Amino acid sequence: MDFSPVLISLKTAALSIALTFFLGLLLARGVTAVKGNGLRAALDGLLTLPLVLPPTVAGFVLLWVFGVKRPLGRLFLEIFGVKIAFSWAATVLAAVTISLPLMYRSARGAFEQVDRDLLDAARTLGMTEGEIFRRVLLPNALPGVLTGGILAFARGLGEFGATAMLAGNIAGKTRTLPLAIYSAVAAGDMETAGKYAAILLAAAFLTVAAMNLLGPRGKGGDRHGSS
Amino acid sequence: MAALDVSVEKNLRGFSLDLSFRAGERGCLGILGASGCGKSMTLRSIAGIETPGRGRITLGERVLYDSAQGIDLPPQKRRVGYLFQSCALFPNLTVEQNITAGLRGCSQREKAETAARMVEKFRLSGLEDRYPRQLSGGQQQRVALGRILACSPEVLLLDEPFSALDAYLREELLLELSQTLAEYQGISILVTHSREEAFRLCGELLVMDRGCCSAFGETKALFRSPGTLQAARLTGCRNLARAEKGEGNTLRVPEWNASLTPGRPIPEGTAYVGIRSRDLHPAGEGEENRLPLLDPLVMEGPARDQVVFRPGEGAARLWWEPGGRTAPSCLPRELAVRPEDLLLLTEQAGSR
Repeated sequence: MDFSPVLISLKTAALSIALTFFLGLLLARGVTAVKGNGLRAALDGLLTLPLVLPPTVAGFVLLWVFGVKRPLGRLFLEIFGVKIAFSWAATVLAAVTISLPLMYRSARGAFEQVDRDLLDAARTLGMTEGEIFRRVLLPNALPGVLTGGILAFARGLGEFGATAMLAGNIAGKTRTLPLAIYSAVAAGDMETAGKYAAILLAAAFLTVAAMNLLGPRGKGGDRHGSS
Repeated sequence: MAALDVSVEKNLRGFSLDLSFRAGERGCLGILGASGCGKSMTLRSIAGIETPGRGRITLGERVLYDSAQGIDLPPQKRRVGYLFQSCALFPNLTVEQNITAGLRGCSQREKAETAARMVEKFRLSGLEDRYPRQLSGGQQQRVALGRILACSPEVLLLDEPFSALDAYLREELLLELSQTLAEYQGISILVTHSREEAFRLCGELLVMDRGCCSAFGETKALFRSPGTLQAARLTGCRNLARAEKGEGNTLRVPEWNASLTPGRPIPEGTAYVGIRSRDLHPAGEGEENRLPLLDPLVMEGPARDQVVFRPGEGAARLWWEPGGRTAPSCLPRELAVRPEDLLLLTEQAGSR
């Protein structure tokens, strides 16, 4: 069995979740802080779009933007000497694009669940907005944020449509596990396809287990003493 | 001590907030009003966590907010402490970390010293490493107060601090808070819908009705003579009725089927009359302002009994709180009210 899809998938998923996690957090915080209702709704819609769009369409749009003959693609090629389309970087770009909405929406939901009084109290106590984010908002939204991260990771690991469009299916370079399963089945090699599928299945089990561990725990701590 | 001058306007659902007052001249200022009258909005505007539509808020020389000049200091720069109804302790931080959360620009040692002082002052020793969920309601409130006072704010705002507590705890915390307020050097404002809290904690009182000031004055004087219908209602007067000027210096009260003499000139604009239930007493020989006691109904209470009666056939019900713990077994046939105890009320502030 060729192990390159496993390695490529791991590399892609690891880098894309690192990017998605922090980008999602920043965007969630940024969008929640936007004052205008219209602008906030527009941003929110734009960031959610890849979630509802068929991945092939998202991939098509990405290809259209980052293709070597397109302005942005040419810019990357000429200035950084990087060809994005059909490179390994494209697998990361596709995974980030598709998984970002999950991270962004989970983080935003978790932030909005945090009692507004806590944030206002922090402000009246003189804490800066940065301090409030680090010491109040993030810690109290952590379970939701981590759940979002796990979901986004799982989504990135399983990404197929947009990756096929933008990165292609180049063995040893852009062929991730989902693409390898597809290729193996297309070639009639059900045994290899089954092995790849088993690996993704195991990953899915681990994801669900991790989410349950992070999920709503019993409210710890006893109530001691009296006033 | 600098005074806090507040003047705020804002359109709220169904009515508009339009309020001007000065706090800090006679101890804690109480803002008394029914829920949803705009009192919390006023407090939040002072703290800077809500923006009034228009107005000006100054603390001594410092301008905290001025819509005309486009000044709106962020809450971080106002030095205004805010005690939330929910206490708003940070659940992820311990008692000590909560207390020091707002301390800025000082060393670890100074922080520890301040925390120790607050722990001592609010009797929290031994609880420094607990998390808020491990504390009782009373302890949580003390931590919240300690956290605010650690930052030594110039103004202390208290937003219905007792409404989430049960009756027993409330009494105890009321006592504690009155001590804290007595020691506190800055300006304090308490928002409440409880006349009891207002009476016990506040030197002066502002009664609010649908976004406007309905009465403002020294607490005890305001309770003695509320002036407006809403102020009388909120200070606990249960017997209220429309009144018309009758012959001489008398007031006709059709709802009570009575004619009452206040024994002083009746001010222009008097439209209502009020009698506090404990100001009624069995009528003595030759006494004025008598009300027959018909259809009496004794309502037994845990501390005191009350009697509900009608002063005439088809008249509105009145409440009487007899002096003793229980109602007399033989009720008098007539009650009376001393002329000076008759509350003469206008419909709204300013219409007098």
